[in-house]
Amino acid sequence: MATHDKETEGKFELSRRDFLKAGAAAAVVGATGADMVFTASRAIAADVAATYTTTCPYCSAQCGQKVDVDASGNVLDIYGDSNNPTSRGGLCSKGAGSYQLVNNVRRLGVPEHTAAVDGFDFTGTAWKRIGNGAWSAIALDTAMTEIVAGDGGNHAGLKAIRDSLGAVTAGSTAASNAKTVMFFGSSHMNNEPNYLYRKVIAEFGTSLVEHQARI
Amino acid sequence: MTNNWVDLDNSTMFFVCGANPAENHPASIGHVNTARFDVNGRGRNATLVVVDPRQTRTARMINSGYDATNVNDMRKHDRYVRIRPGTNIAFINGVLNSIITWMYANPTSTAAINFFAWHNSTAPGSAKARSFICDDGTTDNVSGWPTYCDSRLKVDAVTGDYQREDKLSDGGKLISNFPLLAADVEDPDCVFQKLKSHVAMYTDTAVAEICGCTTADIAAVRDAFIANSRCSSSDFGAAAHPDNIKAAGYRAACIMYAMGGTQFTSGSQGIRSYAVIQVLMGNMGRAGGGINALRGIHNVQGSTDMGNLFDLIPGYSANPAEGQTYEAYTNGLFGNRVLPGTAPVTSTLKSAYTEDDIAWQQRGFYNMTREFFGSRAIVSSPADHADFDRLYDCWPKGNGVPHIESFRRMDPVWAGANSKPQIKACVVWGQNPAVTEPNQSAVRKGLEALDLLVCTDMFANETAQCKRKDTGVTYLLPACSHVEEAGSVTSSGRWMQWRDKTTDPMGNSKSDLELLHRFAKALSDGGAFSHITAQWAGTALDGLDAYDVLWGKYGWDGVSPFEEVSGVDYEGNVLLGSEYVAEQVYKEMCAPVGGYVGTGAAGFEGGHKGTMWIYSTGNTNAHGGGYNPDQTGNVTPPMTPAVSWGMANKAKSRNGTDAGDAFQYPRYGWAWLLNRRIFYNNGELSGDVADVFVAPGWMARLWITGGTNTLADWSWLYRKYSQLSDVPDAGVGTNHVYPGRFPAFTEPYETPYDGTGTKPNLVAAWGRNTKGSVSGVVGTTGNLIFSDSARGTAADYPLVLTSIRCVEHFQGGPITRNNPWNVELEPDPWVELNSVDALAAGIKDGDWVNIVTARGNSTTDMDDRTIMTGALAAGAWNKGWKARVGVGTLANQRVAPGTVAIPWHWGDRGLGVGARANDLCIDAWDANTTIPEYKACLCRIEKVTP
Repeated sequence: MATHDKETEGKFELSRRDFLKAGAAAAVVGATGADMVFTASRAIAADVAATYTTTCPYCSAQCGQKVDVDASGNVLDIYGDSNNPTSRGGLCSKGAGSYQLVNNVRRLGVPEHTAAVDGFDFTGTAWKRIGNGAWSAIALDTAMTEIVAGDGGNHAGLKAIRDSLGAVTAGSTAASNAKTVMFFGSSHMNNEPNYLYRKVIAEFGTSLVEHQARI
Repeated sequence: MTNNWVDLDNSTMFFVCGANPAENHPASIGHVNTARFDVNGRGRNATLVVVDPRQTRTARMINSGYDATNVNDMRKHDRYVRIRPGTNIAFINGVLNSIITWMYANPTSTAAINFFAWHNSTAPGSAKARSFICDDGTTDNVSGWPTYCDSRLKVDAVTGDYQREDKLSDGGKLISNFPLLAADVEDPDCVFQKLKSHVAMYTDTAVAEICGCTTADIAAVRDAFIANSRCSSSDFGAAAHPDNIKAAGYRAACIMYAMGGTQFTSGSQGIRSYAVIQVLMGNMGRAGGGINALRGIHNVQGSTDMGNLFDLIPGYSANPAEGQTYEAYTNGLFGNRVLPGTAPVTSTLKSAYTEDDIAWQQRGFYNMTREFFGSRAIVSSPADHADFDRLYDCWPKGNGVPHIESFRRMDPVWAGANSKPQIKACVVWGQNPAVTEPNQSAVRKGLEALDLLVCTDMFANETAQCKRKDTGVTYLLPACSHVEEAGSVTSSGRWMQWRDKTTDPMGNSKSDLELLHRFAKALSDGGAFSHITAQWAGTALDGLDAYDVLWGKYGWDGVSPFEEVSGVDYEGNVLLGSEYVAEQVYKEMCAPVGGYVGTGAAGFEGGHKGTMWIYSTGNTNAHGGGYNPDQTGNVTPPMTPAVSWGMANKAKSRNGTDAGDAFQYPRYGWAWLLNRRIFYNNGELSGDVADVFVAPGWMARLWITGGTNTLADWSWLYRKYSQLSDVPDAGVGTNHVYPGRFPAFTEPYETPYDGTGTKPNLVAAWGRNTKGSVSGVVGTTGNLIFSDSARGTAADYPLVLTSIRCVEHFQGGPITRNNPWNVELEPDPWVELNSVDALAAGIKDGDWVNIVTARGNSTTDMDDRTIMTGALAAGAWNKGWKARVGVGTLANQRVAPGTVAIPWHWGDRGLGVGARANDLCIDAWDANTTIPEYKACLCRIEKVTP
């Protein structure tokens, strides 16, 4: 497991031992029903340029989180917000580990991503594969254009696929509701992108949308 | 949640059935413990009752000791009850039967006297004068309406609807079609007696056989409920007072459930059974009471509110139907009658095209139609509404396709055989169906056949890297984490909290807001919105660019760097990038539906009228929505001493120091509706506005505020009696007395009690659930699963498989199985086995186990649907499950003989990989929600020989 530590070496101050302590505390929650405990920021105080407020990205308790960042915008630590009435400063082993979700070399598009992690270079802005071939980097704007209009050979775009059984037409008939493109949305998004996602789907001319609330 | 996380502090009983909060919602445990160990010094201690097939870590919290000298120490009722997966309803109905029987058997007890006084409306506060809509369109009170429940309403034996009468209001106005109230609950026609006869079939012995529990278990849970409900509370019959909930003698039981309540073919009925028992026991609208869904993902409440589902649009409004006019559609929403009713109430009261004539949900929809497909510059009047109608025409008419069916429709063979349009492209934004959807073989068959697949995620997950046909093209777009994008999220307790943007999206990753704007821009530029712009001909929008009109208003011009967008909020703070765009969208959703008066700081862009009616408010005065610049004073609910909001965007409010009278932190974030922290509180909670609960006419009160258009005649909608359409396929008229009307136990679609194995045939006696079209008529067997889905029987698969979660990993896995530390804590998926089953299969603790169901197994790649060779070869994920074998007696073991439990977080991609639970789980679905029956299917187990 030492290799896991190496992935964060030299960039972040939080040690694996610190985390496992928090994780162990959370495990105690499960074992005995103890409260979650508050752990103060593990960032070096002198490095902290700003502290922000957010909520945990895991379960729907939405525990409060504080985020320390340095002057360059690096996230130094994510820890419990003791002002939050729900979580009172505590985080479970997922929430306490969300620091690592943010500073994760396996993330798409981050410069730290190395081909060694997945076998592909995911440092770019978007990726494409044909069949089961390898991923290749593609510019984000190009990807968006191809998604909508097709890539001029391999596949048709969303618009042509949408209209393949007849063009979408405003009105009160079934023609207003395309049946050939399915959308899956996400409880992992904030309210605003959720609202816009439902909006763009309606504007695209379909009600074929589902997300995790069904599962 | 009808209540919220913090309110757990006020409970005296936690009834946990279908949840494991100690592992899956750990934040709740601090509040459970606050109540159990009396941290707030109220002289009372709460009991914990856990009903679950597994002796979870939550169940392990019971029996922490109690003070036998303190009558208010409820921990003496602590109990863990082990039931078979899929039998929740039988157990609840058994408890209901036991409670009602007890009440009749102990007529001189205080609890029974109070219980009947409550249901007969003879106790103080159990009936009130309520405002109803009269036939002439005005409102007037009717005295003596039951405060919380419909137990005295009389039911028509033939139609199943309520009996009706012409009623005169207190002021002598005619109200037609008014529900008829019995004199008391002894009337054989009343709801209470119907419930009594329905649950009478759930005798202690019958339930014990179904559930695999003891009759003592049922009696113990009965006693716990009676001791911790309104009938036993020190404030029974007392006037509302903030000190009530602080008394040692206060009692309120809450129900906590999660997917262990919902993931069954009868899941909705199970949740309904929770509602029945909480209403019967008077635990609704109570601090510390309620029905609390512990939802899964951090913003699943918000995403559901936003209607990203095949049958909804934002705000729980339905999709407009094919052929449905705007007036007909809006007439079905909460609001005012805009079309003539049926006789005798035939008057047309309002116009759907006059903003001031329509209310809340109607007005939100009106605003949303303009913001989605045009502009709020488009106005209408009864005389001229052609422009608005053009925008309404842009709504896709009719529902979409449920998730399980959608994957079938991607398969051209299935689509052709079933005469369905083939789905050829799929956009998966922040989800991982190649792990999370049941019966993966069918799911992956569908994904493989797509011409075009677009995935957006932080990681290259299983869905993005699923097997594809040679000509299929897949795109992958990089999303950022929660700290790199601003916006609001809505917790399970309906609290909205704002997330700061702490830094720009890292590297080349983008916020969802930016990716969505770029997607919309590309669609607009590609002509995908031409059916909308065609509608603008002849309107003020004629000739304008679709993106500029529909999306430009949020701040990004389609060209500049997104994170450099800037603007100010109402108070004048400068916002950048997603901070500003999110604020713009938030205003559109949450502003009062009638707009606001204040003009804000220099540079502020105002003029919004709210589209998300539940996040909004009806007017600009005291009752506030999530965004209301005019409402900055000490309002909703007023606090003593005064605490003002001080900001227009209340999701940003973080006053966590003032708990308020009812300990609900009313200035911390904002809760829908109207900042209600506890729904249906009916004025019992000090400082809050009266809510109302069930019963025809009553929902009207929920949204009453001042102003001209806000006293809406929603009551007429509720003069209907509605029921879920579930009907069992057997036992109707024998075991099932009023199925559909009241929750009915049915066996899972795969069950050991199917008559083919060693167990009695309970399927013949109780049936399975079906989707029915006519109430009371036996349903069509098996209509909650596709006929081509594989199903096993007990003869071949004798064990019950149930899926679970653990604290270290999350849902479909990408956001924990890529974190080294989470993976180190839980590297491999495991299987929980009883020692009896393990011994029979020759399995020792730590062995690898293959699980086999009719749909697949865990050591082969089912139907070769995963990329196992080449550049994208998946890791060694299909090695089975690591055995965790119980030791000691049954009482010590996690699962009972016959039950097998597996976590569902693992998949074939990521840092940590492992067997996929959904290669195994059945794709049968709930009759109302289409949630799959993840919690119960049949399997057998085999030791994996290395």
